[in-house]
Amino acid sequence: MKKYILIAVLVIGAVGAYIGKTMYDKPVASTSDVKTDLEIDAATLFTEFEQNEQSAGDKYNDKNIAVKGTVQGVTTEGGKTTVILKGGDMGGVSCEMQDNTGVDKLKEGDAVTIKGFCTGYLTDVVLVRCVLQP
Amino acid sequence: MKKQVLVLVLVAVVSAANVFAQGKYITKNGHIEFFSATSMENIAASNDKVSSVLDTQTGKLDFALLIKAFEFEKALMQEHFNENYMESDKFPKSTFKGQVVNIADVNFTKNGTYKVTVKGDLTIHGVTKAVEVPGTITVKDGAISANSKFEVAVADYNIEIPKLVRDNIAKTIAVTVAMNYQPSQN
Repeated sequence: MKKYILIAVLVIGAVGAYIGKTMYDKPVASTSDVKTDLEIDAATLFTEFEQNEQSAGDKYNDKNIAVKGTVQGVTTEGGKTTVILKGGDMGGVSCEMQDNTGVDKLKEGDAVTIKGFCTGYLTDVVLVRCVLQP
Repeated sequence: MKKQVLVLVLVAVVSAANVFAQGKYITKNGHIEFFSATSMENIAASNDKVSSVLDTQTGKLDFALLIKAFEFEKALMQEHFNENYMESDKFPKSTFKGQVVNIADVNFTKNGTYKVTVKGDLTIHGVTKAVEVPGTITVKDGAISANSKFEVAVADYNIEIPKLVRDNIAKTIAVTVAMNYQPSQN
């Protein structure tokens, strides 16, 4: 009987350790696999941050948002591509792409929807781990 | 007469070179990464959305980045970093405002890598400290890039690491900075 208890404890321990390790090692979720929290257009998003960074931050930071806008520019640096969506006179929405699928075809003036995680506002609203929406 | 023309041409060339070299250089896609090494595990994260302005005339140098734009390999690390250690909802940004002390040593019209010393105020987690770090400025065919590697002591910025994971996170974090600047339109 004691032997069974010991085995049971060992098995539970091993399973627990395995689950714990798996949870600990879980990679950062891919944006495409995460539900979109909200949709907004680039100019509105930029204006909200420009007018009140704090309240806009509370509303949008860490959220997975789909931003609709017009491409202002595409830059690649160190293997990472950034798509800038037109915002206001002083800045826009800077989207750091997760991968470059479809991005190489983008040109200035294109209407697009880009989904990514909002991280806040510097001179642009910054979104990371972005994917281009079909 | 010929001599006068030559002088005139020389003056024109020199001043053109000066105009070209002067002024502000910016980037919005600068790279800053950090590395924590312990016997338990290594933790690395990088941020490719760093804004920086370098004034090649005065040596004024500023950086700003969003804490939430640091990307980790593991989801749990990213979560702990933001929620527990950096409190990025409360302190969304980290900034540096300072000066390249020996900007005069950098010849922005001549290709080369120049050693520089940067001094200023580094703000992390709402705490501002005066720092002095070494770096390099590289000039290549008119393009300007800057690099630096320095260490930051976690305790200096009131970042509390819970006992449970104290052995997993280094007391000093190695920070690597890499910027490629473009001339500012303003």
